[in-house]
Amino acid sequence: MAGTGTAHLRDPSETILRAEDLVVEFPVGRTGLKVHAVSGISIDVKEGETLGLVGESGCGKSTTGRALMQFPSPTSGQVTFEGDELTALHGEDLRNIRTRMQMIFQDPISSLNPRRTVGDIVSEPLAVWAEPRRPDRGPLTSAAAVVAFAVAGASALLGLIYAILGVVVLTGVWQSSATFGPFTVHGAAVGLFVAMVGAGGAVTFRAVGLGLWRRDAEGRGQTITAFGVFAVISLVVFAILGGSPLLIAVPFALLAVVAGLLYAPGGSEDFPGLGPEGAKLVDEVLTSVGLDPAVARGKRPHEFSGGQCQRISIARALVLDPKLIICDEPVSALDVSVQAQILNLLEDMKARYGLTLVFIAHDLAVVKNVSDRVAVMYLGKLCEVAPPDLLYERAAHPYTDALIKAIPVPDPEVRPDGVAEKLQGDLPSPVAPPSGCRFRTRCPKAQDRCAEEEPIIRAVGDGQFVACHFPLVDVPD
Amino acid sequence: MARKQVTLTRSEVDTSRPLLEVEDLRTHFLTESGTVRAVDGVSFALERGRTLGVVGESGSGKTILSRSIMGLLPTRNVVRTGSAKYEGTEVAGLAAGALRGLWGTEMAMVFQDPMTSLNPVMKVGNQITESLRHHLDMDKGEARETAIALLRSVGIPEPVQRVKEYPHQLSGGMRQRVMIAIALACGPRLLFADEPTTALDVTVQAQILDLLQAQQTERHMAMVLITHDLGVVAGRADDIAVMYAGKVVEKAPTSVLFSSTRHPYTEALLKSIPKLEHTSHTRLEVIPGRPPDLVSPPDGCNFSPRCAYAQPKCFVEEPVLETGPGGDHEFACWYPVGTPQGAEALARNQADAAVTEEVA
Repeated sequence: MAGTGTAHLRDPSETILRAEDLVVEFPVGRTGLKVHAVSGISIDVKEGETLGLVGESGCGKSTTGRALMQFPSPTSGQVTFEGDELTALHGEDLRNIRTRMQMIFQDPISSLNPRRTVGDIVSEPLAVWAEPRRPDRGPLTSAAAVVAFAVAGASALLGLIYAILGVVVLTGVWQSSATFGPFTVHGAAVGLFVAMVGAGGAVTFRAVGLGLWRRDAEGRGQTITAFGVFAVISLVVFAILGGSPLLIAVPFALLAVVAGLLYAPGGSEDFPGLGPEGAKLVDEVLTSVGLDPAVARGKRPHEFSGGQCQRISIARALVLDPKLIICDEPVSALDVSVQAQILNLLEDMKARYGLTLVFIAHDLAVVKNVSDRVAVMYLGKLCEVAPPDLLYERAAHPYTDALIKAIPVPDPEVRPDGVAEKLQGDLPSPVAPPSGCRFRTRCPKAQDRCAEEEPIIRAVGDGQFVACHFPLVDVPD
Repeated sequence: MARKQVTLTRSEVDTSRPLLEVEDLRTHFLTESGTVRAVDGVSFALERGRTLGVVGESGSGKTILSRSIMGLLPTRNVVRTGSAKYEGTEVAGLAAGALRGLWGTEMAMVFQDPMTSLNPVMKVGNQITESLRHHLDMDKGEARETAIALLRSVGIPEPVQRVKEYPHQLSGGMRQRVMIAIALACGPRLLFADEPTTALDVTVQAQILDLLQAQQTERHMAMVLITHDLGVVAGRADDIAVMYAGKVVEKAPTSVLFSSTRHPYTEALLKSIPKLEHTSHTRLEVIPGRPPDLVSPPDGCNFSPRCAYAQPKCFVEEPVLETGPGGDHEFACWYPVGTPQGAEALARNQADAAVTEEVA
């Protein structure tokens, strides 16, 4: 199986997403060994198409999905999405593609924050992208912001010490020496004031930098007003106190706040904020996934069943109107009856919002139902790529065949096949994958050649490609 | 060690009777929001060496049913009535100390999630030998040999090394095999397998189901196979009981259940499974809505709010599980699928729906 090659890739002009020779490796502790999670996968997806990625646990299908999202970025290889080379992007530029690429996860309940309401969860993407995007900050702005932050923090500390010392001296607990400075009531008050402003500046800066607080149009207005008030108060205090040298720190503290604002991640003007327009959009999306917004908005995830939580996850992914959604085992944790509801919903959403989907699952019957093209993976490699109906009619790869045979048929007349026909054993360790074809250790058709030479993916029919030395179908010359 | 045990001497055992007889079993939980009728009047009999498949959605009470019989329920705020006779001995309501004599040697259970059901800080070998030493009074060496033999019999390669490993060193499929080895260790004659493959891949699922079947045949063991997937029980169970909202709504030999499905819920469950032979993008038929609240189930038939066949009578009067013509097919429905009444009811509903659509 399990070969490399790009024979199955289509012309880049036709595709919306194209990954070439994707490699993802993770180090194993400090042993120097590596987990070869994905080893040279190439896939592409046309606009409006659903690509199914199927394979057993540990075959690297989820890692592939995450590598497409740059979450984390692949060890090597290219991912092109709508003409952008994602692997070359960093920081703010990479963050900006997230509006066009979203993800839905396997466990619907644990992928929603249990302490937030459904309204908050679904509208959060809008809050994040609430404001027009800012031009990239230069290194100078960043450096200035860090200096202002440091000065604000230092002045906060100094002011606090000064205030405490002032109180201590004034209450007569400790006799000051004349050289230490004039500890008066004024002095202590000034120290406290500087400490507050400095701490305020430092905290704002950190909160914004950590993304705990984001700007939106309304918030910015309030902040500017608050600064104005602060500046006036500081000038008045400065005048009353007759110019304590400590007050020098005040402008720095204010600078830290401003720098914090400059540092805050921006949004894009393509999205409504949290205002009435945003609320309308959230209601619309919740309705389209089959939830009643009036009821659902105020509830928390634990009040919903698994299937409903998956609907909420889908709503959250849809709210930014993305081009592509990567669905990582979205129905594996659900009952068959609920699974059918979610699969139908995904098809409806795809038609309604013009989505392109990458659908990851281990159940071939599920993948076949939703996909236009299926890629079968095994231990970090591709086995076979084909249209779903063809894949079922004439599987070319022994592994695909085994996967099809393993699906339980809801018909008592079809007795489960004999043990001999089924895949035995477990996936080999991805730390030391087998040489040549990675499937050979479990393959019923394996020959000596399979251990020596890795099969390269090649065409075996109309849109069907296989990476196998001895495919189950005739290969046209 | 003084053990209070129910010891069944072979002479007491009446082999003409079924291994397990469950009669009108009810398990209700007393909660703040009201009484949850998790299992509400379930009856069945299971012969030696046979497999009963119990199928239903999450929350249909299938897991609580098996736990009620095993006596694995909390002692507080649970009301359990009805009877469950194992080899003619009443096991419902036995104290935990007495049940301990049955667990392992007479009845055992394989749980759904192999990741959390094993003790993570205990070597797998010790988890198997624990019950061997307790129930069968084996010495250490003997128990270890037996554990290795058990691991080999459930298809674990290199069992001599594996007994010394911890659960996290094994894959999901291997862990489920260990769970099966633990359950089989003392040679139970009744095995409850509660969604044994739901957490596993399809390929591993096939292996585990084959393994259970092989062990069952070898040991002439009766099995209750609990699952939400009709595909899993189709080729493996002798009889199937379909549960909905704590009640059995249809029960029949497997081939009969599939060939002449009578209950609309069973039919809907079957239709919602994506099938390989369907072309891609085939619209799946879904069951609208969700399972009822077991605190205040709907009036009449529990399934009526979601049923395509529902008629006014269904919302008022609750159907009882009755044996249909033929003798071994039981179902609880006023308008069964595949009968003239059912066809008429469905046609009427479809006509009504068409009219509503036109008006809209």
